[in-house]
Amino acid sequence: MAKIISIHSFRGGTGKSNTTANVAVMLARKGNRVGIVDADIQSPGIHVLFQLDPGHITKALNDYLWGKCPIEQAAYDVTSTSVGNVTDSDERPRLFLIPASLKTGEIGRVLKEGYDVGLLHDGFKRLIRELRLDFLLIDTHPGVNEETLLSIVVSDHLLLVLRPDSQDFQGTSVTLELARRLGVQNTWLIVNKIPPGMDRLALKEKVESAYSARVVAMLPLNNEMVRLASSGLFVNRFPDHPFSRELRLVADAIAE
Amino acid sequence: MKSDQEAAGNCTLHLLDAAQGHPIQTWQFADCRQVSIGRSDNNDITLTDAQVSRQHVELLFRERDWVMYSYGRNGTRINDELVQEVYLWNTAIFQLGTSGPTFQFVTDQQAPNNSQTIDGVDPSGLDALGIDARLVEEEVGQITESEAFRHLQQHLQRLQRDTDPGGGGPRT
Repeated sequence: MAKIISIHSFRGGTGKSNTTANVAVMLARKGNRVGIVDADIQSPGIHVLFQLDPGHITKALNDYLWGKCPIEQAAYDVTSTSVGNVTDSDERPRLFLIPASLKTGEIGRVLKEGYDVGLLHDGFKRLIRELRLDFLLIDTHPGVNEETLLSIVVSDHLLLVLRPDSQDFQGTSVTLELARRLGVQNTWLIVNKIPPGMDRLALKEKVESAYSARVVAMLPLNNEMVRLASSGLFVNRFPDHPFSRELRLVADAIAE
Repeated sequence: MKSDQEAAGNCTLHLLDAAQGHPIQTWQFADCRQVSIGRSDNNDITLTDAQVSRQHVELLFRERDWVMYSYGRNGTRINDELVQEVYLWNTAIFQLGTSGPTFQFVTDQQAPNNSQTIDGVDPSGLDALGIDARLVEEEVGQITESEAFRHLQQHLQRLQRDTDPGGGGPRT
């Protein structure tokens, strides 16, 4: 049965999209069919990591939500550029990206008019069926809103990404409590951008104790990620880097 | 400004003691695009070790990072895995051959060894981290009493009825 995984953070800038994209590549490399939905409709960006040219995005998640097309028509096969070593006829691995619209007018329309969040869940189910996915990853909009909460509650796993700072600590607590009240069972935490000098073990214990939730990865702040920025997929460029090895734990936990 | 083709970088290579892992010799390269290691005299770092080939590895600066190419007959390993072409990261450790010399690569020296920095006993940064339970309760209360949250709960109840009559929660 396919698994849905929502990746969320209380604030922007936590590395949520980078985490989503890199974990998706690792899951695909395990021989899976993986989909990513950029549900961060207000501030889309994950397509950049996959070098998906905005000029080639003719259909987006927005078009589905506004009834213009079935959702699978907004899916772009990014396997060859992100996973590699596959031919067109290979069934597995496959990696699909469903981007959100980059057009400012369409982003504005979402903000102004909203959309029926129930359609999101229908779309997820349809994507899994039509693309025969093993895993569907949802890159959510930071903060707390209705569509984010819906993505969270229909997921098998919720991954909350936070940085070790007081604002993230407080906000993540609110998100986690809301998820619990909505009956979400499997919430995992990823601590990202751990600065030099911070005690990894003490931090992990503190986070697990504060949230009563499992920490699946402790990701160090590193110069290579800063230099790479959004120009590519970190796990492809630095597959043996401590950051990549730690991210692999996330992919392994999801695939368990 | 230099183009990517002309870009050059700085790096330091520490030859590590096999038993203790601390540096026993260090080479520094500034504003450089290429560093070679091998047994021949024409390498930037020359080693006399049977595990090391005449030209064993070459480090090339590409855009913003260093790439290591391994040509040695006995291979080059990172984390016990053979590598042929790999982007090096700050503090990466590589070994020539199966049991030959081991180097630590350091670049820019801005970020100290990851394992040292995040495993080190320096919990001062953690003191400021905490959760104000009263504030969490207040914020959660405001959200759960909202129209949108109730709407979502109703949607969930419908989902649970539709997809999982056994009551195990909504699943696709």
